Amino acid sequence: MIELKIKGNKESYQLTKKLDYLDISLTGQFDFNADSRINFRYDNYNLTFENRNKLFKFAEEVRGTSLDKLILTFSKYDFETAFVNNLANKKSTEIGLLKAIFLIYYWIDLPLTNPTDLDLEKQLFNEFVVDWTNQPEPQKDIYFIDKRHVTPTNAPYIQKLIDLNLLASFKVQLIDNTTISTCFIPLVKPGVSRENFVTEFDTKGDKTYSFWKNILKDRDIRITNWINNRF
Amino acid sequence: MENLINYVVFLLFLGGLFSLVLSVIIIIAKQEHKRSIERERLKVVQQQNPEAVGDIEAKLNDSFEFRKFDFWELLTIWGLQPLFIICFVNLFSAQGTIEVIIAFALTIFIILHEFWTGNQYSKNGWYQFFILVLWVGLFFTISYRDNILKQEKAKTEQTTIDNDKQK
Repeated sequence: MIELKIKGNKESYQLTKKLDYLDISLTGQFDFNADSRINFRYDNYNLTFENRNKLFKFAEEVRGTSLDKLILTFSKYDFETAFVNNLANKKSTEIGLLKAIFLIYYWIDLPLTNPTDLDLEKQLFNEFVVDWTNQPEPQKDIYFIDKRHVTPTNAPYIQKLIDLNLLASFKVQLIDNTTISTCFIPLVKPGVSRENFVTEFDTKGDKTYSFWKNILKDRDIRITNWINNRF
Repeated sequence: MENLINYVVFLLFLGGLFSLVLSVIIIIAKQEHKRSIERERLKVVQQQNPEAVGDIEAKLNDSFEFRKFDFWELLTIWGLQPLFIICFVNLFSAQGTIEVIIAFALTIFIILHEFWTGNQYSKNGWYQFFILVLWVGLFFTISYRDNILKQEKAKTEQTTIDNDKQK
């Protein structure tokens, strides 16, 4: 059994100052020819995909869709109607997290089916997953933060950034019970004003803010390198 | 001591410095213009979807495209190209071994800077200081070498004239 799990704050901290964590997970057999069911857990809903192929196809369809199209895609599959009807009321932060699980699954599908040849860890740190819309417009993306930031000493800062909607955590539990935990900047990344970075352990918010800026610097270097050195 | 400053080299460096500052000012002005357009766009988006935008300034500064440029950082990133041109232009007037070595060493460093260190360390104060030292150091070296070469040239010309006279 492999489990992919996303955790994030679905309330907008900038506007409401509320915390409401959302857990989304996919559990099941992800081998290439696996035919067993895959559980898709979203908050309190327990939904299922028939098998891995269905999930793969679904993830492909979800990529790059707007909210209206996303609801349409969900309603085509036989999920609980209450869940599908509820989607229309959801706000962009939550929809961003929902889309993230499918985008990430699509991104790491190859290393999951072929773990001997491809390194899963390489794909989960300092990488971009683009929500490719096939339209000439700015594309949104998910950015996995660099591995050196994910340390136990940084855990409180990461937790604060998760609360601020700036990060979301992602965990993979593999068959041999090894877990890889990482964080990513979600699709919908709101601007958070400086005073919201203040916490009990960081009274001025400077450490959390500079930690956040360091993450962004890594991302910027990655993009500039690509722009300068592409062929 | 008076050999350390050469008026022609000084003008060359002044030209390089002005071209550098001018280009950095233009880059920043263009970025600010881009930011103001995006700010207006975000204000409209904010009314429809306040959750996705949040604080406009923070969102602009966090994004890669619309981030605020730092003057000193840009000065460091673009600082090597004028220096490179100056060292090559200087080769026209002073063809010594040291000048050629400087030009080639600078070529290797500029490759390193453009592909790696420029992006990685240009925010770092020590790297900025290093580039500054490079400018000042090269100014004095090139001035000194120019003066020395000129004096040697004058000397050899004088001796050839003297030799011709003796014949």
